[in-house]
Amino acid sequence: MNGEDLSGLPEKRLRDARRRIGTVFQSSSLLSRRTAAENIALPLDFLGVTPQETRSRVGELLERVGLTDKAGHYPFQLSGGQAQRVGIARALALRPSILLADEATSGLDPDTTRSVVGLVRELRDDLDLTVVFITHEMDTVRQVADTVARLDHGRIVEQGSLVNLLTSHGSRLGRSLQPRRGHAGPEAGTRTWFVTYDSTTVPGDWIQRVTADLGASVHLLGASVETVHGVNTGSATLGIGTDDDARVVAALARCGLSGTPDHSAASFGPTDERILAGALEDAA
Amino acid sequence: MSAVVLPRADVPLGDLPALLLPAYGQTVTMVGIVMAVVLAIGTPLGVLLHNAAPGGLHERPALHTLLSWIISIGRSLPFLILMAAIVPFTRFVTGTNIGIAAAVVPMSLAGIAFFTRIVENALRSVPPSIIQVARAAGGSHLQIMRSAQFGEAVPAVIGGLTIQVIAMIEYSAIAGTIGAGGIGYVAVTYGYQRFDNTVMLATIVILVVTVALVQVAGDRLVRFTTPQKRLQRA
Repeated sequence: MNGEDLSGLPEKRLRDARRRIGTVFQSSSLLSRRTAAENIALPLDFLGVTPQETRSRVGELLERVGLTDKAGHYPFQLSGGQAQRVGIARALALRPSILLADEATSGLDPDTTRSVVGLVRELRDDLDLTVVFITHEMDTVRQVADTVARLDHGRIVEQGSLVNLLTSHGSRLGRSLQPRRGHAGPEAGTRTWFVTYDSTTVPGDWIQRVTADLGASVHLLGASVETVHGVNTGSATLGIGTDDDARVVAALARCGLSGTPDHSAASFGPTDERILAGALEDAA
Repeated sequence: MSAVVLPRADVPLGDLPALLLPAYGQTVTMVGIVMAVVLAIGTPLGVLLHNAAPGGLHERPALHTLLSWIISIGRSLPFLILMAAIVPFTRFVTGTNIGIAAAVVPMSLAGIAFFTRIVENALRSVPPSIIQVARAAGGSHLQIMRSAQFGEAVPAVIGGLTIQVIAMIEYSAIAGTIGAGGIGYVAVTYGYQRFDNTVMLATIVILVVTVALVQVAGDRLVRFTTPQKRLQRA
């Protein structure tokens, strides 16, 4: 951190370092016997700040996270999102340069997650913070991140800017960042293809272009496209009515897309997937 | 062979207050002194025991094992046996082995062992995430123990304190058998040894009422120190 290796520091120096990093934990980590304001004041109490200074700083922070009217509330009286805002305010109490959010949105509903993520982005811009956001929710990553790193057993195994990762088909991290949703089954006579946006300049009418290029029918079975940092990214599942794989790959590549045929499902005729889905319905 | 006939001379009702009030005062004194000693020594010992354990703030596995064993031994002896076993120590500390002073020593030892476990147990119920928060907020070990660990565990400690006071009242009655005085002594000498039913009944009533009052006071304090219970009364 700021050119300093923290892993070998003695306890006392480590404590100073911790004060320069604000940490946001999972939503439930407020002291239950302290009010919202008293929770935010915790780092200031530890540092030995005077009561007047503490009061004015806590007031500022409450206003910053939009909870001025909840100052005297205890954690059990706060919603998950409000509790998390208190946690963020507490992390900011000592004016850190880095905000570490450890699974800060886990266990929150999607709307609350969005509002908490929005607050974090706002704070990053206003306070010139570096935010390290740890999460396993890929949707949240796409909302919040500029750069992304994948950790495996405590080591960074892959990293890059969010846009680069989302538009590079070879990246395992990039693939896992793409939303995975179910898709419709292919019609008879078509083969299923998984397609991802593999460049920053995919034309908006690429389905038309690929269809014209191939001279075969292209069925849209499922897709998710969104704009991240001004670039269109996404993935789609297609049913394509030709079995000339090389031509399909080439046609997709001309539009800046990367495609792989689905080998698991039978190409022509009813698919295993469909049979499996039928079996599941029966079981239910 | 002639049977020994004890005179059935129940204490007249009018004389009961003169007999019971000083005894009650002695019980309150004994329990009061013992509780002061227990709180002063048991509380820090409980915090130490909890934090010296693996995963605590100040891991000292050897110290933890040693402390834990000593406390377990203290807790496993029945109080009557403990009291008899440490007579030499009691005499060394107080110069006597009868009376209130002599009772306070074994009661304090048993009480400290008891309360140390209660404090340890209360601290253990504080979620580890709370300790993480206090650590990340830049707290020293002492600050974390005070505000996060103890601060969060206050209702649990008070609940344990209630159990402790009631246990000490019971111990004081047992100590009565070695002539420590107090309600227990009166119950044993008048009620039990002299078959004085009036005194026996009176001591029982006094003890039941005292224990009930302690319990009610403890419950109220727990409620008062738990925001959720205090504010959701309506």
